[in-house]
Amino acid sequence: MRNCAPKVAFSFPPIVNELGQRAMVSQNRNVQYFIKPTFLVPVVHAQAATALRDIGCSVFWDDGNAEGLLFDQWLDRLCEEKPDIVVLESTTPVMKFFWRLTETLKGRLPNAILCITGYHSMRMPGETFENSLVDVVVTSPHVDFVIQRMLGAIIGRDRELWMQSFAEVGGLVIRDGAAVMSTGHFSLVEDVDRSAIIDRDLTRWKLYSGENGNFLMPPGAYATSVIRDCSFGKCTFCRYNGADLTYSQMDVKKSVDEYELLITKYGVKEIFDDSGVWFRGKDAREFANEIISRGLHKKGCYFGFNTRFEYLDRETIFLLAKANFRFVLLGFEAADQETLTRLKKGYSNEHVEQCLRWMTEAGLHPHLTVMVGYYWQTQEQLDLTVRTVKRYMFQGLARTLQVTICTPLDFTEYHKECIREGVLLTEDYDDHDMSKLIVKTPIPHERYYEAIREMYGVAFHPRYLLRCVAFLLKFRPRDWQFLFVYGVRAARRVRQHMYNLTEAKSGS
Amino acid sequence: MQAVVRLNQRVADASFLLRIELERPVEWRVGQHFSIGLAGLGVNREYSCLDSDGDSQTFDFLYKVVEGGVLTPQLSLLTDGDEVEVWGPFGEFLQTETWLGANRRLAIATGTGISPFLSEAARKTRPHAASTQMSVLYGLRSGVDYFDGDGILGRVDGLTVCYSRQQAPRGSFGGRVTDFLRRKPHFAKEFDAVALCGNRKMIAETFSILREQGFPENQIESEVFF
Repeated sequence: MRNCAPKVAFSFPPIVNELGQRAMVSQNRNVQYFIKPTFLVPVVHAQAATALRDIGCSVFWDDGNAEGLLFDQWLDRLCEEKPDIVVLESTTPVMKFFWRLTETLKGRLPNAILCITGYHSMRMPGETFENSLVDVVVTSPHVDFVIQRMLGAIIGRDRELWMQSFAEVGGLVIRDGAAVMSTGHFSLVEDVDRSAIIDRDLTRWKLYSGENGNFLMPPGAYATSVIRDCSFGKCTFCRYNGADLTYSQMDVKKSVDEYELLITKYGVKEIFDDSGVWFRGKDAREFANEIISRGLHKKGCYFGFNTRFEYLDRETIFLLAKANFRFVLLGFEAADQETLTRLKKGYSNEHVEQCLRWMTEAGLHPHLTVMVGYYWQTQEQLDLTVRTVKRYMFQGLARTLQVTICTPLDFTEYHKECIREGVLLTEDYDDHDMSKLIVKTPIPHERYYEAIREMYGVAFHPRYLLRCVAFLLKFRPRDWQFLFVYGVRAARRVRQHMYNLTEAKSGS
Repeated sequence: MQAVVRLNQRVADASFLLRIELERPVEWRVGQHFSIGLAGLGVNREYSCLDSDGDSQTFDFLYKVVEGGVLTPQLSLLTDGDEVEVWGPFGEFLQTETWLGANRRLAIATGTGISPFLSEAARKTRPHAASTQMSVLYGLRSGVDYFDGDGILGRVDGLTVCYSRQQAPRGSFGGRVTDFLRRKPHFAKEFDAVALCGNRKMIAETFSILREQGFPENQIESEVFF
């Protein structure tokens, strides 16, 4: 039988809960449901789509969730496209949804090969085969490389030989009749320099360019990550951690080429790199100098990244600010050293304030990602975190924050620890959606919800607002934009967070 | 936690050996690393341990002074009694079933990436590890970078040093470790497991070569140095 180039759909179905909120799933996120969600471009999948297009496949970028489609609209559209392969991205809180979905898809698209990716199924492929009609589980974080090899193995071959051909590709678990077969371990190290830079038109960049707290002035874009997965990779609650993972890094010039394209062709006003932890030291300075040498720091576009405390020194921070970096996201998981040590954060709280001070002096906008609800967290530890966060915000050392409940997910070290210690209160994956605490704790759960409300309440506190006004006297455009443009969006986002994490739960 | 410097001396052209004593003993396994920073600097970096002769309070680290670097130029100025900040240990390198279960092991290192393998070579002398074999492929720019941990490398079952920027002395190889593997396509097949430690370019390229040579990827592990 003749075979033309396979058609591959990268599908992100609408997932809506009983409150009418949509799940934010893509880009390895900890799922949360919002009425006005932030949809992130799933970076590695977008790279995969680009790479497949480049080798001659027909690609259908199918983010029905970000498009705001209803489930049936999305399903009908996908079926009309008649893809040969459907690639899905999953994580713990939506596993059951995806398992059910495979039954629906097999009913409507019986000949399509269903391929699931994501850290949960990657670490527990057998469970997914038992509970779904999926054909292939990708057991590698290098989805782009593995799917490219999968397609490389079947292009030009008869359709009925495709599943058999996948056996040649490492990093898969495949259904083989009634049996399930592993094709061997995935390649731990891939040369990210050889990965594709995302084609923004193919992957419909505008879907992801507006509603995002990381963008001061839309439209914004997420860069093709320079680091896969994380250069530190030890934090116990994080997916980018484990003996089966490592990190790889992209060349500075290749990444800056993409920044230049995003600015000149797409008119992007903020670029964020969602690498687990972005460059540090010499690489960070080289990146900033490359931006400056090309004049991209004067094009009205801000830049941002994730980092960790004790990774960037003062000189590098000031150079990044000169290159028009603005948004710096830092994990501030707790203010007590015991928790940081248990989470294997690898830094001292003693240096947090100094780092924030350097960033603020340089004009950056540090954003703290705070977590509460560790199974060991005492009232004293919680109070210390709340007090410290408020102080940083009132002193202007941090500009924005987000607070989430530390939820065990995707069989991370913390997840396995919770199972081992017998502190998980549920075995239902649906309950891992970060809307409530699901571990036993030394104090009532309500105390953590109160702490979340108190920290988010800072956004409306006169001392914080006064501090924002005081920043205007620095006469930096970003500070004016922050208060008068971003402020409205930020207030809405804070209300959503407070509602989701505290009130929706009590109303359900 | 705090630690006190007990030794900090140049052992190769740009490499120093740092010995520190922690304020309290910690549980530690071969292959793990620590984050080390200077008191008050607010910046730390990760360094793999060398063997500490079973002592869980005193640890040795090999580091290269990076010109223009944030930490290592200052680290090189430390003397006995100075304080450093230490976090860890972290990591699972050389602790996987793949490595521990292999009888014939190949360690491939460049520069200070030799550290965990010096540790492993010392472990090999212990009774439970006596039946295993480990060979080392050690990449350096030149002889002045060579460090063998006071002869520890002499205990391994096979040692090949690759010199990329000088004429190779007799018994060594002229070129990078990746050149060596390309030149000898059957070399790695003699081993059950391969562990890599060094800079990311070497690791990515070596992975690619081993893959092309048909070495099972699930028998390879790596620790990337920046």
